[in-house]
Amino acid sequence: MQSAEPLEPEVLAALEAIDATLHGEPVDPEHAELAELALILRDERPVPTDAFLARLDRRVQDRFAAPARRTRSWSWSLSAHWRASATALTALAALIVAVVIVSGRSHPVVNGLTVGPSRPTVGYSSSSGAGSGGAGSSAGATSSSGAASSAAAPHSPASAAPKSLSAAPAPREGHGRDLTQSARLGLQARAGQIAPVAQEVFNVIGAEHGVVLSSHVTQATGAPGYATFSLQVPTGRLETTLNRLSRLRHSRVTMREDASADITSHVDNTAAALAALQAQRRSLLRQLAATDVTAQADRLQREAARALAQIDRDQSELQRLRHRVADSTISVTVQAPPIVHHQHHATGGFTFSRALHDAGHILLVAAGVALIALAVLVPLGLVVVLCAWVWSLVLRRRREGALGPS
Amino acid sequence: MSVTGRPAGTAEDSWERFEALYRETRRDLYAYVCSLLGDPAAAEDVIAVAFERAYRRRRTFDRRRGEERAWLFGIARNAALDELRRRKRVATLATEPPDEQVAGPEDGAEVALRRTAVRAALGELSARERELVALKFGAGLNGGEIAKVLGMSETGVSTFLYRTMGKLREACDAER
Repeated sequence: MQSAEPLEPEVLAALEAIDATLHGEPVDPEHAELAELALILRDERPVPTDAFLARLDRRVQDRFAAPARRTRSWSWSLSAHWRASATALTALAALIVAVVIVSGRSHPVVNGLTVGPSRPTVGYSSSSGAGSGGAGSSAGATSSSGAASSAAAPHSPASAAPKSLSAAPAPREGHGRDLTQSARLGLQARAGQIAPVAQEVFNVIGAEHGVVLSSHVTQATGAPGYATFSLQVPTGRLETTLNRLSRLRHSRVTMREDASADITSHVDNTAAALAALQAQRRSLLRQLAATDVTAQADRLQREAARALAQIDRDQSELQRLRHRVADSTISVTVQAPPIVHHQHHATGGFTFSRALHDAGHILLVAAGVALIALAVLVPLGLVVVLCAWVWSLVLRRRREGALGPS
Repeated sequence: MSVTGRPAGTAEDSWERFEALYRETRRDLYAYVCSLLGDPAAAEDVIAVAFERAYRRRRTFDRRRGEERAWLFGIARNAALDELRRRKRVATLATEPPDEQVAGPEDGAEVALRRTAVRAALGELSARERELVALKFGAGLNGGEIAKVLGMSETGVSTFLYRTMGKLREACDAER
């Protein structure tokens, strides 16, 4: 009997005596009793009947064809069950990964934080309708400045404001507060993709019935691309517009800021002052109609003129405030790395150094992909191996539990 | 007949290897399983299942993990333990000898007494000790093969067997 660790001589001698006995060899008289016990134990072993051996022989010769069906179907159904479970788990895992990826793309990451549709609470309902204004999209990616008025602008709440404002406050939406809203968006475009991104910005603003107040796009070979846009959209479409700008095909979001300010008191004060001035002017005009004294009439006329001028200023201010509430501003900044033209790309043709460079690049990318795959697969594999090991231990313990306490 | 040391080849070759293994081990396997279950009829079913499983899995046998005999006895052990679990009963070694095992008239009175004492002593062993005895003396496995089947070290098996034999001898002496 072989062993990796040394056994005590007494143990070794006894086991060798047992083995010798079982092989029909003589043993030391010292172990005669042990040898006799071994022989009795060997003779006591159960012996199969000839009928059973004949049946078993036939099954083996048939290669377990027919009688095997019951066991095979059981094991097959078990393995099929496991296969179905594994397939379902794999599909579930793939679904979860897909959902995570899709949700990750729909909520761009800004400085490590996911920017979702949440924003400062305002009292305006968000409109998700996407019109097909298209105005501004023809401004071109190299436009420099100017207030490019959208053709759809008349449809905006800002343009719906009355030209001559009354002192009565306009009906307020939402929770009855006048809020101004603005946003800043930073985008990172791929090299050489400034113009397509600019075009996408124009398209979004046109579709959302907004206005490009100003734009500046710079793209030159070897230099970083840069573009800025000052945009104005109906406040009801601000959220939709920001979401669409965040999902442009050629860029990703690097920064987003939302800001809001409550100017309700300012609007109310201006409206109240305007109402008072209008009442004062009406009073002055009535006095002017009633007086016969020239000097008094002159004074009343001057006061009425001053009141009228102040009314004009307050009306302008009120209109400006309501425009600020009805329209929101968006400041968009787009940056792109410089376009790098490799010499061999420009010249074309095949050279050994170019092939070597490309091969190195491909190997580098492949190594990176392999590293990422390993980073995922190795921990997963360890977990699987650990689970399999634990499961085999549990299974063994369960089975040996059938033997009862040792 | 040796079935070890032959490289895995065609399907027919693997069948021949399996058949040789079957011829070599069927009686040993029966002795072990019948001792473990204590029920010849159940043992026959388990043996058939074990050989069938071994036949189905014969291509997955990995020689680096042990010899074929130990591999086959491992399969049979799992099948027998599953059977025991299904029947919700604790394994007991057959302490009553089969009819053909009864001492014949040619045996002397002393030998008959000795055999009776051994059977009684076997009943006093634990299930694991009886399993070890069945593997060693019923199936005729060597220490390395028993270690593979039971998942123990070879030294552990040697020590376990030595102690078990000591217990058996003491129990036999007490019976006489």
